[in-house]
Amino acid sequence: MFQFDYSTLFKAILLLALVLGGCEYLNRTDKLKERLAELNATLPQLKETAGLRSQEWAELKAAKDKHDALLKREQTELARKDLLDQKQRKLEGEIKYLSASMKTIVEKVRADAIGTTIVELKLPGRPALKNAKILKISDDSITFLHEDGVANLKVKAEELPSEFVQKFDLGPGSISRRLLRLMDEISPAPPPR
Amino acid sequence: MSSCERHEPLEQQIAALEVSVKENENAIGKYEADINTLGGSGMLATLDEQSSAVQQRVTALEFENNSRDRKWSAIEAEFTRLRPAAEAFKSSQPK
Repeated sequence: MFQFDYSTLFKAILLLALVLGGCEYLNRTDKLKERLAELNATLPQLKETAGLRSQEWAELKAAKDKHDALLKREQTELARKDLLDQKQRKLEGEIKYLSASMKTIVEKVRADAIGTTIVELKLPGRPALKNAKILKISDDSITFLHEDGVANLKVKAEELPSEFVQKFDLGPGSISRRLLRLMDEISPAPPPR
Repeated sequence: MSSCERHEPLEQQIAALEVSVKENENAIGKYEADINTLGGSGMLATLDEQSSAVQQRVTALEFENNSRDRKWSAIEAEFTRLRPAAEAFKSSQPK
């Protein structure tokens, strides 16, 4: 007759538990190793991708920064151009005004002097002119009618006394000429078509 | 040593790797977002092209401005010398 033996059952259960526990342990170990291998394979790829993205971003950022800096420089230069335009207009106005007023006064001074007679006009390096009457004053010379004839004395040849040069604003270094040169420099005449 | 204790080094290694993976994934995500903010990957060529055009304009402007600046300064200096002489000439004339 079959006799139930508790100790045998206990041993069987214990054995089964051990076998199941062992299987679970090995299964868990396998899964962990599998995960470890997976991570070990993924990580280098991710690092490489991160490196590439970092490099790409750095290049793009550098290009953007360079572009922004250039745009800023362009804005600065455009603002500077506006200031230079203003400065040009201001100088043009001032030079034009002074040049025009000088021209009027010089023309008047020269016109008023026509007909004036100088009893003895002392000249540098040549005999004086007697009763020299001013006939004509141009930008570079004065023509005198005197006792011995007509003399056209030029600034360039240093034939005129310096006080005449200054008084009638004559010669290449005259104030009027220098102002006109400045006008030409600041707003040159357009080239002929 | 229990079975859990035997798995512990593996689990620690995995945890460390997972942290590293997460960090890299986050970094990639951030870089991609930043790249998109700047206009995307294709923007690099466009930016280089635009920068080249702006550079040409800036160089031309700088050259022109520098040249005009020097010219106006010289004219201004000469005018500053001439003005008192002209004023003196005008004021020396009888009214």
